[in-house]
Amino acid sequence: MARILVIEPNIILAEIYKKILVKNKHKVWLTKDAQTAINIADKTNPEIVILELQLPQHNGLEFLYEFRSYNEWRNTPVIIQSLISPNEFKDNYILWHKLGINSYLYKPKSTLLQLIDCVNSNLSSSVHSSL
Amino acid sequence: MKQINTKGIILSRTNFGEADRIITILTPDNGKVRLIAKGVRKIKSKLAGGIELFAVSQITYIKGRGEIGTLISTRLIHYYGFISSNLERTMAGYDFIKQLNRATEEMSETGYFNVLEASFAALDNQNISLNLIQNWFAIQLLRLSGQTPHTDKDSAGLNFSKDTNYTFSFDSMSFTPHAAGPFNIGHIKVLHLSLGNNSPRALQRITGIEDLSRDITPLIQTMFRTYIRL
Amino acid sequence: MGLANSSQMNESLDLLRVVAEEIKRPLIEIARSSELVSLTDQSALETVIATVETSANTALDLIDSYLLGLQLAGQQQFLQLEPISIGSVLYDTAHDLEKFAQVYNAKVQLSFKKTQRSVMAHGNGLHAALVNMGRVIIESQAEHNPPAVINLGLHNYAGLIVAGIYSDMEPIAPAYLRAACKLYSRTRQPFRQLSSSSAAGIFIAHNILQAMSVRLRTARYNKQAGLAITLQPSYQMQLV
Repeated sequence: MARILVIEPNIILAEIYKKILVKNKHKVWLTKDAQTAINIADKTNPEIVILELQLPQHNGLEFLYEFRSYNEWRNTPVIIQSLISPNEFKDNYILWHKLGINSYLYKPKSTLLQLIDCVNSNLSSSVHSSL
Repeated sequence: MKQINTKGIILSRTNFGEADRIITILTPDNGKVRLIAKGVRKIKSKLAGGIELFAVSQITYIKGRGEIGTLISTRLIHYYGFISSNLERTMAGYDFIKQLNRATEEMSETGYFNVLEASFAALDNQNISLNLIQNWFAIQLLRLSGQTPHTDKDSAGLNFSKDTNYTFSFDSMSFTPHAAGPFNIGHIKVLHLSLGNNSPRALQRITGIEDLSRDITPLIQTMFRTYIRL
Repeated sequence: MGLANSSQMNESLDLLRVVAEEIKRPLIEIARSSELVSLTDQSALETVIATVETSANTALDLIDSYLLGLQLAGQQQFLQLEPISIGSVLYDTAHDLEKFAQVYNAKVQLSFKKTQRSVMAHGNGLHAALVNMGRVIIESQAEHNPPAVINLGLHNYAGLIVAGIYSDMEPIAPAYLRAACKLYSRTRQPFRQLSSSSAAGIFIAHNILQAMSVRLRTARYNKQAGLAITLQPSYQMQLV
């Protein structure tokens, strides 16, 4: 069981992700925007963040930049789950190396099962790295 | 202790201890300053602010005895919100901040604030091509570091000719006539204007600027990687 | 091809790009909802079916409205405007938005008294514009709790009739709306103050209304902010 913060502006998709993650015995917090996400992260100390890049007000990159500036969240796995294809960023050093993205799921092509697998594999990597 | 009031652009924020943040700010008159913001972790203080990075703020601080001053207050002057509505521009903005943060590691050169502010203003304007802005930023950093190509005359000291092609020599940082050279007077003119007092907005008005800018991108990026230590 | 036609073609392509981006969303909602049912028990089935139906209809409607906009733009010189009961159009709009609002945990209300006011407009175009605007506003204002309240309002202003869709959103500056309507194809989130999506519905509405020589504008009504359409009153129905 893990504490998972889901940052997703579409409430239909957010509820779907929450249902499937809860069914897999995780505790889930939902939010639509970047600033609230920081506030929730402060209170809940998530073990994984699932993040859409297209957010209202501040985009997902801004959230990630802020999130990673806190020592305690430098190594928290972040899974991007976005409407934007990863091909748009394939050459971007900052995104892949500096901002610390652990996995990238492209919403039109990735299934809920893939999301669960991705969460599980990132959780087990972070357990191994903390041992 | 003397309070300093200045405009500033935040370059980075990192944790310091349990309750504080170290904020690195670029200012017009004092270059890069590092300030400790006490008790501002996350949301609990009025200084916590939002997560706006692409912004110019009015900052009040007290200069410390050592390297780090103490932040007293901040007030947002201008937020370049349009940058963050476009992910490519957001990433370009971060690139600029990172590159500038590294390029100014050892000095507090005052011209860098104007360059960053102008770059944000350009990124905030959808009518200015991103490639043009990236090239302009790289050229400005080269200029501020004293590493500028010669764009007044060619390597022999002669005026550039409209019917001649040129190659570029990194040794002499100058253009040499060459029948198979990839550059023409148009490319050199864009480089010359970028080194001058021309903003990206002014450059965007040049006919054919987007093609010219694209053509000279490899040259500019090679100069940048060669002469700017990041 | 004349300059005017070439520019119209570019505008249509720009809008098509935005529409294509927008359609991904309801289709993803359908796909993931269906998958959820297959992976979990049947207790969520009713909700999922409602979502699938609404999302599919949203996608279809988006395409239809885009095509209507093209059609009206092509007929602009000969477009037949007629006296329309604006109250009826708003009633129909509220009805069409109801299911969508339920799925997004929002409530649509009519907040004007029953009226016989009539306006000169293209009925289908006006209705399509309002429904598309309404969807963007509902989706952007949706919260898990409490439900967002979306009001369809009608009032007079400077001799014109203003029909709009309002909520507790932050007021939108007119300059912001103008900029978004000009630059929507150049950025993924042209209307970020309101929506994290491509907000295609706003630009489809703008396109349709332009073809009718009608303006989309920002407005406030009953302490709420929103988007509205200013329309010429028609006196013909009053004479009947």
